[in-house]
Amino acid sequence: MRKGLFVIGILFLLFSVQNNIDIEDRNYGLILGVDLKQSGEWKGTYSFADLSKVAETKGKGVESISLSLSGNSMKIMEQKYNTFQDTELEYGHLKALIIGKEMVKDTYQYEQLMKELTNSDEYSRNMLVFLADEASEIVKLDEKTTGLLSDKLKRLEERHISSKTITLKTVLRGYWEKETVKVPVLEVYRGNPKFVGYEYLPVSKKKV
Amino acid sequence: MFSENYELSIPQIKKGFSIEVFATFSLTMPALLTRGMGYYGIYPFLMGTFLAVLYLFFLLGVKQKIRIHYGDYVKEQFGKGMQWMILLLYFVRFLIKSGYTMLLFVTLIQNNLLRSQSKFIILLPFVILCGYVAYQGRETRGKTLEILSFFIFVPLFLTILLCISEINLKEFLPKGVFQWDQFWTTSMLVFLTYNPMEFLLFYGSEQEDTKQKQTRTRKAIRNSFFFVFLSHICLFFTTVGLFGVQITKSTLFPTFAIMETAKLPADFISRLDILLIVFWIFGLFGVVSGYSTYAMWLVKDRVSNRNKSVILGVFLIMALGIALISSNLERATDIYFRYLMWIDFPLGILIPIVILLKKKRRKV
Repeated sequence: MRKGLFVIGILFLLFSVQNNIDIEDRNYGLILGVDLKQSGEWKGTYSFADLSKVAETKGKGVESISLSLSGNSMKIMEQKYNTFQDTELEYGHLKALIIGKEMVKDTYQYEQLMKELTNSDEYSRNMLVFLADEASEIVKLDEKTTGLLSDKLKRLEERHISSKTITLKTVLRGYWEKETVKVPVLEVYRGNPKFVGYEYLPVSKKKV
Repeated sequence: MFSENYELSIPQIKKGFSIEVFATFSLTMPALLTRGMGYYGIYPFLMGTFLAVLYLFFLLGVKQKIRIHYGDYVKEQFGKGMQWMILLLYFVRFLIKSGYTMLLFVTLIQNNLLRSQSKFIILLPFVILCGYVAYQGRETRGKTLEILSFFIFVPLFLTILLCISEINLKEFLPKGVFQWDQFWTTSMLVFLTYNPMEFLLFYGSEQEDTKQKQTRTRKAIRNSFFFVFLSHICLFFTTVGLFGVQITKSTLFPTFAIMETAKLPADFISRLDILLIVFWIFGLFGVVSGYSTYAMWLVKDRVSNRNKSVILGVFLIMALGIALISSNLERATDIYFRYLMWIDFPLGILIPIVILLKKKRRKV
């Protein structure tokens, strides 16, 4: 009797006292694009799998939706997302990061981006990293292409890019340890991402 | 009913000791070393471990002299007032350590599995499990840890093996200035991370053991310590070799991040981190259950079973409270190390010394 009451008490605590955040209340970003606007603000473009369509198509064709936000840091853009959307932004399934070339050219802003990515554990260290003239253009392709762009980028990286896989870990280590890192560059070609070559990323100017 | 099975087998001691000493600070050890000494992190680790070896021999010496159960020995040597005073000191120390370990657990889960989930919801099942194990007794805990050790260490070493090809040896070249003051501070912090070794005082009585078993037990503990030392070294070299000193320094749980980079051949599982978070869930469970089990163990013959349940409940609720009120792990870690340095560790040395001195005075 006492054991039963104990179990009921625990279940009551678990399910009624607190507000749980269910999986439906979270929105999992799959690709993240970061550009630097002319105004000096950052533009973050996120691509999410449209979970509502997964049920409709019985999982056969997953569609994506993308969204752009502006702010002076990733944190601010994330806060904006959580203020205006009814779901929680999640980075747990991020597969690729695309950085705009303007962002890379601006030493100060690029350092801020590197700092933010380094200091947060949310950005998976094994996500692929690419460069593009406009990162948002590549991310938005996800809405037009059949299948997920993140899977396409993964295949593209495996089959068409011969150099070592460049992940966020490689980029961050290269930046802070002053090792040059060669990153694949993407371009939009007939509604698909195309690998067009490599570019070197800058390294930190800070002394050890 | 509280379990009456008091003894731990040698494999249980071996595996339990490894989990207890390794689990808590394996999460943060590379960050602690690189924050303290940058590219020279390995040196304070070696010095801290050397100090820990001395502490281990001290504890083994105490255990050898006491020969019977630690709690029973206290009961035998002191009057009621003094007994309760000593037990209260252990109770409070274990409570604070449990609270900190729970905070570590909840931060790990919140950061990597259940973002924005309430701490209370995350901790409740954890606390219940720890309470259950403490209620069942020391041998049940020993058996549980013996089984869990396979789920803890096998995935960890698998991950390290899978990461070896990615390790950059340049990261181990010394750069910058060697600061002696930082060296001693960091060495001391490393030494303090070995504090759960104190559990070995509670492993059981040597009185009924044959000389051979006593020797084997001591050997098992020494081997486990060496295993923990090697595991820390492997984790440190893998983490720094993969991420470099600068990223290791600024990551809260750098050893956890290595799991993300390990990839099983043929894409069997694309990311191992979610799977291998099990390592620290079980590991931290091992540590917190140790504090609650041994806190209960100390009062085993002094209060009725009903009161023991109440004491266990109070212990876990207070530890949960400590974890819930601390919001920032980094700040809490800073305070926790100060507490270990100035209060907990001196007490951990003084209490056994006082107990041994008391024995000598009685003999005279």
